[in-house]
Amino acid sequence: MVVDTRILTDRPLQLVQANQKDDQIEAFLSGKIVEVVKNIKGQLFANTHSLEISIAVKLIYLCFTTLKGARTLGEEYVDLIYVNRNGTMLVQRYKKLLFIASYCLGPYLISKTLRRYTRGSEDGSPKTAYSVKNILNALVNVHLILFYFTGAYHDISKRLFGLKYALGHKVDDSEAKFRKASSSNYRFLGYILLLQGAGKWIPLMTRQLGSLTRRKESNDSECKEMPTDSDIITNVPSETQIIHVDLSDESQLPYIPKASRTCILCLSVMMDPSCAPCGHIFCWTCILNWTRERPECPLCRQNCKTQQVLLLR
Amino acid sequence: MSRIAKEYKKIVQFLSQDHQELGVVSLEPIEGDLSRWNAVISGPSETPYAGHRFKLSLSLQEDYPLSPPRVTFEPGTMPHCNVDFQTGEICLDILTRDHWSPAWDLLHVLEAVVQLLGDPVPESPLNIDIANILKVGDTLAYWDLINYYMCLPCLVDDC
Repeated sequence: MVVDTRILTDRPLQLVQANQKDDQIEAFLSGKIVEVVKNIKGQLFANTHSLEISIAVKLIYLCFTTLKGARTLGEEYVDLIYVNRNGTMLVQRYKKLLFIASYCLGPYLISKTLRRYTRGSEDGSPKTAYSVKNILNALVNVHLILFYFTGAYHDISKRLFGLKYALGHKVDDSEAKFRKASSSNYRFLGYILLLQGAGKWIPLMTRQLGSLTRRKESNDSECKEMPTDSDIITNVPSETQIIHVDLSDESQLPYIPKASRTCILCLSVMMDPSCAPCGHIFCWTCILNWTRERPECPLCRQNCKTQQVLLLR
Repeated sequence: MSRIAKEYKKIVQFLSQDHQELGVVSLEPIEGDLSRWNAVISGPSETPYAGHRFKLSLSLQEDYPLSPPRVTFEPGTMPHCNVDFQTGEICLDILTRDHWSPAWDLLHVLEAVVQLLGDPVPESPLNIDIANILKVGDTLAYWDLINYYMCLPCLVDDC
């Protein structure tokens, strides 16, 4: 096969096509392998180890194609071959091996260690694990945006080890024209992702910066105001952070008459009184437990969706 | 304290005040197990059931009061078109998941059962034979038949 390695695919379209084809083949293969596993180990094993099986399928598929020096069916479909970063040489085998390992096992191992990390220590680490997850997500997003613009690497592992694709044939004019048209769609996707990312990260950055400068100010003039970070809710507050309204304390919400301070659902004095759209009042947890069962007021049967319940303060 | 424990307190207090008009004679947990209850109701006045007492058993699921209690008459003691005579099963809308409300308690449930005795609903029968009598509009025959049942020695209650 004569390869013109100078023609690097700079359009995402073919890569996506190849990837889709590979996914199809993998799904087909996975179906067969699950069948085999079921026969040997039973249905339960196949169900509980579905993730591991899917990884094994990927490994098998890539070992028999990419590692062996052949092309995957997807690559064959759009006529792609691997070349190095500069597009001057074919890719060495060890790089392919590294790519396969990181591509198949990377996400699995990362999520597993993250989970172990969060489970391992109780209080401090969930936050750090959470931020690590955030950073990883952001990296994946950046990678996707780059892919949509440049179309060089479809997978993050391929970017890591420099496995670029080149076309296995010369491109004639009509094909080039067609490619150009279709790639603009992907560019559009890239813009959307960029916007989304900006929407997500810019407020976060400005807040971080804002709180930093504010902290400086408050150091100068001995804290004038509470930091405004507190009214931005970033995660589910833990039980100790919630300020409960306990109606057994008579100074709380004094406008509720004594006879109405008992929750009809738990028959106790109300904790965190909450109002249904019809005006009936119950404990927050009591009414939420019920509306999840049936979205209606227990007393008058008027519609009461969970999201319509208002906490009284 | 859980809801059912509170209810128990309320029930004890309520029954000690002698509310005969509701028709609930007794209601107590079986061997202190608050998920299983025995109850006795008295038949509503101006019906053939008047002057008789009927045993019921109630069982609560773990998610009570989010789910309704299961209420049955003692098998073979209740002739009524909405009660299965053999099993004592009761067909009453508020005892189904679709019509139950957690605002009701066990006393409400028994009150509703007493009401049901005086207001048979032949459209949803569990005792098809006597429901058919009502369906054809022969109310007199229905109540006379109930009256006859009530006079049978095997149904004479001793509670």
